[in-house]
Amino acid sequence: MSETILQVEDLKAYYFTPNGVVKAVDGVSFSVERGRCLAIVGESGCGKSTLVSSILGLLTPPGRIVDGKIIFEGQDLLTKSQVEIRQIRGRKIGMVFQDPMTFLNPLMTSGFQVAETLIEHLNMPLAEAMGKSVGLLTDVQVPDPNRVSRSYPHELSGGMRQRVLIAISLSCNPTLLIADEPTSALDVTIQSQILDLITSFKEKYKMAIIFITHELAIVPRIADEVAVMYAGKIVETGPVAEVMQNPLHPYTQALKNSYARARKQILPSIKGSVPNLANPPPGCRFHPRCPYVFKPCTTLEPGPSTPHPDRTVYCHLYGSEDVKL
Amino acid sequence: MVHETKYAEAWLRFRSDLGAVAGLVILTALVVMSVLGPIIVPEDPVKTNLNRALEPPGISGLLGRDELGRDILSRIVHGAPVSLGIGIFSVMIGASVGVVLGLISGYFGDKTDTVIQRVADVLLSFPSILLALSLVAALGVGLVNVVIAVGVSTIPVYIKLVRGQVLAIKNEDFVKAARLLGLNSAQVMLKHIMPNVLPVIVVQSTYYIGFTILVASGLGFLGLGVQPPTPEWGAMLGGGRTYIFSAPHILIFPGIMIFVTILAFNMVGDGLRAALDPKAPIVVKSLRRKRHE
Amino acid sequence: MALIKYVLRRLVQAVPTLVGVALIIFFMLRVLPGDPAVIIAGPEASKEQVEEIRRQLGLDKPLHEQLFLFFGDLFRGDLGKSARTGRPVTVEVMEKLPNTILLTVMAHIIAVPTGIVAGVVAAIKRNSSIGLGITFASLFGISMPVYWLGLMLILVFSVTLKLLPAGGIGSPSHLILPSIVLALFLMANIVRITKASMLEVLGQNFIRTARAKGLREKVVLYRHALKNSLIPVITISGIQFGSLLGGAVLTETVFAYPGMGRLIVDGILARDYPLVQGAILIFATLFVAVNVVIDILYAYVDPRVRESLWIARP
Repeated sequence: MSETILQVEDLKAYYFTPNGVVKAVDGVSFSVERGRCLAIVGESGCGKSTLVSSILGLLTPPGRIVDGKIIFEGQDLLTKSQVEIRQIRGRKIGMVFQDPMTFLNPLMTSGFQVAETLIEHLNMPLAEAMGKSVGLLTDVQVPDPNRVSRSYPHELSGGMRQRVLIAISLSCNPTLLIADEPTSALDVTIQSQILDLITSFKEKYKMAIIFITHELAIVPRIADEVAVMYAGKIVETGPVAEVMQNPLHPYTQALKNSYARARKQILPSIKGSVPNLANPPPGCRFHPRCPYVFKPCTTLEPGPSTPHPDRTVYCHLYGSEDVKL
Repeated sequence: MVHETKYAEAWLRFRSDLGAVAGLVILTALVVMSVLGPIIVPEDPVKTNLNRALEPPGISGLLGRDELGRDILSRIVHGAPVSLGIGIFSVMIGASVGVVLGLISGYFGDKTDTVIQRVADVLLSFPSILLALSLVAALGVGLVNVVIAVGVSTIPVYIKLVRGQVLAIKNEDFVKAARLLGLNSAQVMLKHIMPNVLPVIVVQSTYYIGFTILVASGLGFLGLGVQPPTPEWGAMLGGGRTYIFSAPHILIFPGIMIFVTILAFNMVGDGLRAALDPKAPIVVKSLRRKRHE
Repeated sequence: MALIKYVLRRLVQAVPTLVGVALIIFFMLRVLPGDPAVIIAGPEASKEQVEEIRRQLGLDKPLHEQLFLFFGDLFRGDLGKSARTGRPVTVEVMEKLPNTILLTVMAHIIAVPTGIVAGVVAAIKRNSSIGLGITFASLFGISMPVYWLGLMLILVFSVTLKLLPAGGIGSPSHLILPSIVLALFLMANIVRITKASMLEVLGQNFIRTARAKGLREKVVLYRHALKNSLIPVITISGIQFGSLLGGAVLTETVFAYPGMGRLIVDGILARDYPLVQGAILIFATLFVAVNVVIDILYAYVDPRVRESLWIARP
């Protein structure tokens, strides 16, 4: 009985700038279940940050959500008021950011920064919140949690700071955890520990996790399902093992190839460059770089196809049922 | 490093900033006044006419006459090049010395850096006007000494500013690359570090021209700056002070000129700072509130 | 603990700075062109008179000996006698210094809280009319010549309305105009710095974290953003305070207020070198002391600074 925690339907978020409309997220759909981790993979500029901001309700002008639904625990967040979303944010949806140095307030102790959500969302008195904060720091396997709690961010190492960020995100027992490239700023060994930590929480608390990354290599280690994002659109989804073994979309294949070549120490690259989201190519956005491009690709945007159960791909090669213009 | 496109972008940003453009317009007007004014203006700014002293505006001349009967309008117009000249030259002195010292201090580090920094710190301990005053006390009054005194008082800030920038980019790859290619220190500093430090220097100098004019006029007000009969706005205010009860018109116009001049430099400075900041997005600023749907 | 060590380090560092200041003052009047003895004696003085003055000031001795005597006198608190009045310099200064301190404190009491509040409002409501209004007002404030504003205010309040005295000292009402004039200028700077700082802080990543935590906007602004923004404001306010201890030269002149500024300027005009030297020395010492206090305050607010060796304030 997997219960869908988050379901995003055809989400569109655009930036209305003086230089034109940037379609950062253009019809994205995916879902995450309880106790499962969905990895969203994409290069920089594909719209991942906008996606995250949209889900959290933190998208600021000139950005705006234009269309779609974000259904969290059965309710569409886009119909809720600012106050209601704020109460969900940090409490039922936890967020872990990328760079622990700049994402922590340098003037506050780590302990207080963890305790803050408890105080604000759960009305816990300060002393109790600080105590619970030390407990949370222990849960994220921080050595000497009392000392760390009293320390300021600049006094801690990168790995410890990231654990503090994770502790903050977990403090109110969220049902959904969104991690935006949490390991990109860390060494490989620490990376590994953090990934294991997050996986352990997924199992222990049966949290739904959205893990965003640009590194394909990490995905098998942490995710159950994967969605590949390109130029503001999802191009392929499916269970991790299957997608990694047998990528359907040409972009996913290219990603996998460049990753494989990197392991053999050949400089990896995909021909061409990421499109300008203010002026994306017509039809399928990947077509200028696609080795299999053929007639419909340049004019018609591909709709979803399901060549296998559980797998969805947006590509004309698989003959879509409904073709979007 | 390619700078051309950066400056073109910066100009676009600057152009769309109403305040900055307004400031630039005012400055242009001032320059025109400095150049053409003395030719157009009817009266000799230095000629006294005690019979007509303190005449209010309207009776004679557009702005009246001062305590020695000189035409205020002429004096104001002739004062423009004086003030602008003081501003520009003192900043040139301060910037040339300060930037060089800042470059050396930041680039070579170690003992050189420590010594220069300590001296700069001590100089910064003095408020500008006191520093300028002390220098004037030692050197004597007069236009040239004012320029030197005020110019020297700007040196420490340039040192700190430039040094900060140098430290920030000293370890960047392109600097290391330049060194590896065999460029000597002077070449590295001039060709590679300077272009990146230049924006900060330009912005600071713009603010500083306004500031030095302010300080110089303060000195003039106290009687310790540019000496009469040379028309200087601050000195005009100082000379007319005692007549505040009887002939306030002497005091109003020179003050407005100083204020407008410095305001213009500050507006342009603000505009330049915003325009040269690479992090700022190109947004058209407008005074109307943005419409929300 | 780190804070205490920092305080001690800072106090120790103040000593060479003070020595440096004294040295600069010493050299400024002796090494630069112009013979102080001649200037003090005046154009009509005879050679013997000039020599007498030169001997009194110790200017006939070799430079290194002068230096030695200079520091010796300093340690004993002897700043010499005013060439004009003959009274000890310390006495002259102590008569005027309290006035200056009073004026400075008053001006800051007005300027700092209002300035910070206005700056925060200007940052948060950046595009509204009140935000723009505050921004323009602060721009005007830093462009306005202080002494001219003083003159204009005197024109309005003393001459036309006859509400307030035009100058001097003696009653609280004498303080009003000078304090306001000073405060306006201080405020303009504080508003600009607070606004710029607040905007910069609000763009930083940890504010995103704070918002992602679902905190109320008020909490984000005041608990997270404000404290971080105040750092440069502390620095600037402190420096302004310290500078004004040297006397708000221009304001004091306009309002005929007997403070350190006028003392120094009158001293310069009268070529009273011992007085000028002594007054500037006292002021510089106070300024260094204020700087130490600012640095300590800064370290109290920002724990990252406590480790640093040199002071690198924004």
